[in-house]
Amino acid sequence: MKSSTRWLLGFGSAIVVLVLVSVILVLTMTDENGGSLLPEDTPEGIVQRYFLAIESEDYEQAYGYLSPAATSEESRYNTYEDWHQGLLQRKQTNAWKATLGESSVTETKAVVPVTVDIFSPDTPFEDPVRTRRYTFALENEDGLWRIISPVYPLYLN
Amino acid sequence: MSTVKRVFFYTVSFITLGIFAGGVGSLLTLCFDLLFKGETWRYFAMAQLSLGLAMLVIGGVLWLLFWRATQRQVSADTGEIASVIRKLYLNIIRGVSAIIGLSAAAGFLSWLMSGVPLDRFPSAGLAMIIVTGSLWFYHWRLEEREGQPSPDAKTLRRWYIYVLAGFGLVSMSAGIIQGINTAVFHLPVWGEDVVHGTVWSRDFQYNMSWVIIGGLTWWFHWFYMAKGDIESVLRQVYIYVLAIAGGAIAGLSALIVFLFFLFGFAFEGVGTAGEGYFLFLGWTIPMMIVAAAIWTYHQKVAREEAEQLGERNLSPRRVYLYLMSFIGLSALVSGVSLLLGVLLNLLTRAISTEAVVASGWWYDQLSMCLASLIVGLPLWLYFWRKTLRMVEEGGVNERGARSRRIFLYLVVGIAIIAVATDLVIIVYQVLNGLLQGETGASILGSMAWSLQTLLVAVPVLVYHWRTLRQDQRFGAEKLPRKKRINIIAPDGAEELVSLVEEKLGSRIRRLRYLGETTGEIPSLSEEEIEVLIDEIRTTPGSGVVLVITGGRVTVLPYEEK
Repeated sequence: MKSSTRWLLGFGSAIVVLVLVSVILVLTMTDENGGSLLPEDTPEGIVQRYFLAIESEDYEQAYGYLSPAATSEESRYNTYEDWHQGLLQRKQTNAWKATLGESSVTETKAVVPVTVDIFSPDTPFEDPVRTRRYTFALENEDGLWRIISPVYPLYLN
Repeated sequence: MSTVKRVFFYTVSFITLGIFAGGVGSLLTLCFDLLFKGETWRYFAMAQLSLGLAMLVIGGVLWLLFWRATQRQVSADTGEIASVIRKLYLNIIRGVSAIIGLSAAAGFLSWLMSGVPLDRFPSAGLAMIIVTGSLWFYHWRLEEREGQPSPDAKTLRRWYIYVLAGFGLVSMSAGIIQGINTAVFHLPVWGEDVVHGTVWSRDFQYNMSWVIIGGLTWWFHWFYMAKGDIESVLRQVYIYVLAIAGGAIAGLSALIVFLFFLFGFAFEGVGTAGEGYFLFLGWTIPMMIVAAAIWTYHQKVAREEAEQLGERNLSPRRVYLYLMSFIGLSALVSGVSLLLGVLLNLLTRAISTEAVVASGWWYDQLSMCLASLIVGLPLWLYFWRKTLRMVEEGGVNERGARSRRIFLYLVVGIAIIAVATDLVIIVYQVLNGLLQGETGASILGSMAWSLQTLLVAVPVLVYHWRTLRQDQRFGAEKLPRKKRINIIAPDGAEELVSLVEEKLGSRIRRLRYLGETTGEIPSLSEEEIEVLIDEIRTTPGSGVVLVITGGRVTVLPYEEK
């Protein structure tokens, strides 16, 4: 067998193996929102549920995790209708994932950093993943953690 | 005329003609507005009238003065007619006026299709058509009557022809695709949310008018003006780069999107999009069909013309094969890097303890990489194997072919830059992450794209570098340089020059002999031609001047200092 043909066969086989491994791993190891649900009485648990509600398009539920005091002070999106409308404009059909970082919690306040990766392929040699970073601030209101910032609709596009 | 004087006269003519045309256009627009839109326009009329008249009178008088002076200098002087500046002026004016006029014509045609509503009368559009149409016709006739007495003049005319042919082809194709997409969008199968109005909408009318205008433009420039121009390099660029490569890129991009959505459907279903999920069919399928038609037709033209060009037919074929290999390799590289992205993501997920909420994340990435690989891998393998076969048959000459060298150096160059950039980013991210105490998963996440592209660029670099080195070992870089061949001949020697050109298989720079001609143009037999070709090839030096005069052909070798 010629050297050039051997190389081509090598490349082809390696790619086929990679494809098979990836398909099997993705189909078997990933459920889109896999992993355990964090406790609801923690700031991380609230932020996680906030994103889960947006993902499952249960917007009223998502809005419910925002602090009513904070939303009333928001200049543009201070009603559920406005917030919902804004979110729909900023949430396109691109796939995304939100990763919760290490949070810092005091008795009544908490900060949870979140990295949102958005998959939006454009040109062939460009990184198809765009990253947005949000810092969620939460406040404990009568024993319930609620998001006080950002209360505006997130950019998920 | 001196060059500076020429630049001065044509620049002033160009600017004053623009002012004059603007004035005429403005006044015509005003007339149409008053005629068709009635009293409501009277408020704006005075300012428009004043400006239009000022532009028309001042621009018109100046243009007439300068243009008449220019034309007097030109009269029947072939040197002036052939000047690059004059030809540039004429071709720019007819090119620009054609493109502006055609855009206005598409708008006007669309208005006609919409049922001639007088309240939307396109006054500015019609004025633009009249002004640019007159400008185009006048300069087109002038240019065609004068002819192109120099190679530069011919080249500038070709620029005009192929730019307009390309413009027409792209406009027509875009009109067809968007028109079908609009029609598909209005089909009663997408659920209640999607359908609005009727198919015969303004969008559809506009698309159809572009199909007609673009089609006519392409037909006129491609079939009439570019007819028989098969020796032209610009024509090859138009055929191979715009039509064949452009068609392939457009069609394959549509195919990748088509497969992406199909895989998405297979993995996740239609989701909340409902029936509207399949709207992508409305533009991807027409785009694939139109691109395939453009690709097939121009490939056939290229093959036919290559046959007519005789021995040189390998060159365009080679360009085509390397171009397609490059497109295939690009899609393949893109697919493999996305694939590695999925694997790296899985790895990050496995070593990370952070909570993740994902929406379509894995399936979308997998769908895109599968779509790119299904298109890229077979395409690259098919065309690259063809080039390998050509190398086996053609030996060192094939290895030394310019298109092959360009392809290999381009791929190696891009791969080296990619590897270097990726390494810089990876080292930076690792050091920065370690110094800032970030977790392994976080560091891996921030350098994921660089790692993906590095892992793809390295094998691509190694493989093509090896191929390049192999070519060099076979002597591809040491092939004797092509000789520059010039011929000085009086009028009437065209047949002999073409015969020599054909036998040599390369282009000859033709110079017209202006001295006193003695003796007839020699009529060489087949054997004498062969002897002449042999002499041209074996004679030392970097170039040769053939002089046809005194009833014989003299070969004068030279070396550039």
